[in-house]
Amino acid sequence: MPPKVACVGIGITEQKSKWELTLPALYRRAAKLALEDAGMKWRDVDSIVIGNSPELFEGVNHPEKWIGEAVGGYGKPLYRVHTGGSVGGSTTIAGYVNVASGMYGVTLALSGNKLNDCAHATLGLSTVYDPILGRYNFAAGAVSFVALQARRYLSKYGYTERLGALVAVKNRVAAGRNPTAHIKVPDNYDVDMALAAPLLSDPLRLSDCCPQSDAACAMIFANESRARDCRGPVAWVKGACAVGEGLYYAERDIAVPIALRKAARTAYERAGITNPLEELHYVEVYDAFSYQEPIWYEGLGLCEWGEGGHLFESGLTQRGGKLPANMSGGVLSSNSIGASAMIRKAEAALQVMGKAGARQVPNVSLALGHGWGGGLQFHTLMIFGRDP
Amino acid sequence: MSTGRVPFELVIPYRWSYGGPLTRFFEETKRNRRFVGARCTKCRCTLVPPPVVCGRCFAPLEKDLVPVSDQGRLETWTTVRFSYPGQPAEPPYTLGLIVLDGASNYFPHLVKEVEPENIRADMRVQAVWNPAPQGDLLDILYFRPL
Amino acid sequence: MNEPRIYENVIRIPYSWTTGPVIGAFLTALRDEKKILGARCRECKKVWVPPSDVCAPCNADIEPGDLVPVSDEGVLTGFTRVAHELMWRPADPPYALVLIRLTGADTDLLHLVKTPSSLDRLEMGARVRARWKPERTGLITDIDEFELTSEGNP
Repeated sequence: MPPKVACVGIGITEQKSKWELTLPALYRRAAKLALEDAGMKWRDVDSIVIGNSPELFEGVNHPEKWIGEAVGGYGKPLYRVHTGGSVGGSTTIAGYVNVASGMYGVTLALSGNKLNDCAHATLGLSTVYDPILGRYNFAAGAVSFVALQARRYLSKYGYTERLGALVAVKNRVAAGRNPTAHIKVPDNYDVDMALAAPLLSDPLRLSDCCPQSDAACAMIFANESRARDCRGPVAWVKGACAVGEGLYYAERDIAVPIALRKAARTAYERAGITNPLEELHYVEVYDAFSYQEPIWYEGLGLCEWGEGGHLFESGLTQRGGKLPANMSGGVLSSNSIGASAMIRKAEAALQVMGKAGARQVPNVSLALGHGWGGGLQFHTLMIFGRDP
Repeated sequence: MSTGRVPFELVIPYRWSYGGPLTRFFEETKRNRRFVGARCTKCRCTLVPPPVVCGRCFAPLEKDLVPVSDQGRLETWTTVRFSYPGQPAEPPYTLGLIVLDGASNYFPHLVKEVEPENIRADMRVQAVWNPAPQGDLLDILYFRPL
Repeated sequence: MNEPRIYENVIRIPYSWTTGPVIGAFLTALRDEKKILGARCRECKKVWVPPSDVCAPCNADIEPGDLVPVSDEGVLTGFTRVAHELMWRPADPPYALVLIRLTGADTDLLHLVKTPSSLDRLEMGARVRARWKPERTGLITDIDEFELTSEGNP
C-alpha cells in the first residue's frame, strides 16, 4: 500500500476571459490561495510540479522556467508536466506521486493557461495534431471532433438533443453558486433557452460548449505527518489512475471511452470501491461539452454502456440527488484547459473537506475528479476521502 | 501605474517527413485513385491511412500495403456552421468519420451531395476523386451517399 | 524505393501578451520618458533590471511602487560579437550581444552594440551609454543600442 497522502490546500483563481496578469503572476496567485488555505508558508513546500500545455496557447516554450521563479521555485526541486489538454489531471497525479513516493513531504502542484493571450486558441490547439493529416487544411478542431462523438452517442443509443440541453441547464445554473466560474446564466435559464442557442457544429449548440478562459489552480499534497501541521480539514487521496487510448486505432468507437473504464477500474480497486454509484458521494467529470457528461458516467462505470443518458435523466446526479455531479458548473462554465482537469479534482477535494461554500453538497466523504485530453483519448482520475 | 499588451507573431518554418507509409499512401491516391492500408501482424486489422504501428495492440505492421475500397459506411458526422482557422471548407460543411470497406478504423473526410437532415448513421458512402490530385487529403474531394 | 516526401509549412500564431503592472510600467517609462526603471526588492534591497514582479531568491512580491530609476549608463560585464545569421536576430551582423551593469542596478541587462567603432573596442568594464530611438513603442528595443562613451574609455 502506498503511504497516505492528503490534499491540504487548494487555490483556484477566478476563471475569466482575460487576466491582465502575466502567466507566472497568475500561477503565483493560485499558489498563494492554496498556501493560505493550508495555513502553510512558502518555505514549507519541498517540491513544485508545474503543469502547462500545449505551450503554444501562450507561445512561451518551457514556461516552467518563467513560472518557477514566481511560485517559490528558487533553489527547490521543480518538475514540469506536459500532457496536452489533460495536463491538469497529470499534474495533480504527479503532485501526489511526489509525496507518495516518499521523496518529498509537501508538494505544490499547479496548472493553468491564459488561452486569451493568443488571438485564437484553435491556432495553438491545432499544433497538437499531425501536420500532414490533421492541421493546415484539414483541422477538425475541438468543437467538431466532440460533435462527432456526440452525434455517434445520439445515433447509437437513441437519445435526443434534449439530453445535451438538460446537462447544459444543470451545470450552467450550478455555476451561479461558484464564485470563480466564468459563465453565469440568468436564474430562469432552462431547456428552451439552451435549445434556442445557435448551432455551431451539430448537435452542439453554443449552450453545449465550454468558454475560453484564463485561470490557474494550485493543490498542495502532504504526507501524513506534515498534514497534521495544516489548518485542515484535508482530503485524503484514496486512488488515482491515468490511461490513454489512440486516436484512429482499429475499431475505436469514440462514444465508448474504454480507456476511462480501465482507469476507473484501477482507481476504484486502489480506493477499495466496488460499487461506485453507491459508494461515491460526489463526482466532477470534465464536461467540455454537454453530451460528454453522460458518456463519462458510462466510462466511470456508474452505469452500463449506453445508459448514461438515462442515469442523467433519472435526476440522481442533480443537486439533491444521490450522486451530485459538477456542482461547480463544470468545464461547461469555465475552461482554461490547463487548469480545468486539476480543478475537477480540486472541486472533488473541496467537497470532501467541506470547503465548497454555496456549492457544497452535504456529507461528502468520498469524491472523484476526472479529466480528459487529446482527441478524447487521455483520462485521469483521482478519488478523495475524508478518512486516511 | 500602467499595464499593456505586447503583440508578437510567432512564425516558425518546418519541414516534416511524411514517412514511408504515408508517402506511399498519397502516391496511390494521386496516381491510382485508390486507398491503401497497413495490416497489423498480430491483430490483423487494416489501418487507413497507414500509420507506423498498430494503435490497438502496438504490434508492427506488414511492410506491403493492401488496397482498400473507396466505399464505406458513415459512422458519425457533424455539419459545421462556424468559422475557425484551418478548417477544411467554408462553413456550412459536413465532416464525417468513415469506415472504408476493408479497413478497421475511422477515416475523416467531408460529406457532400446530401442535406444534413437526411444523413443517417451507417449510410453507405463513396469517395469522389479529385480530377487534379496533388498527393494529399484533397485528392479526395469528398464522400457522397451511394 | 523513393525518399519519403517532405511537407513544408509554417506555424504562424499571433499573440498579445499581458505585461502586468510592473513590466507595463517599465515599458511605459522606456517609451514616454526614455527612462530605465529597475525593481528594488523590499527584502534584499537588490535592484533588478529589467524588473520582474517577483524577486525570485527572496520569493518576494514586487509592485509598481518598488520601481526605481537607474542610469542609462553603465559598464560591460560580458560581450560576444555575433557573426552568424539567425532567423530571429536582433540586428544584422556584425553586432555584439552585451551584458551591462547599469549604474544603480544589481543585475545585468542584455542588449546590443552595433556601431562599428564601438564593436572594435569592446572590453570588460568599458563604459557604455544607451542610444535611444527617436520613435519609441514601449519595448526594450526603444534603446537602439549601447555605445562606448568617450569618457573613461581608452
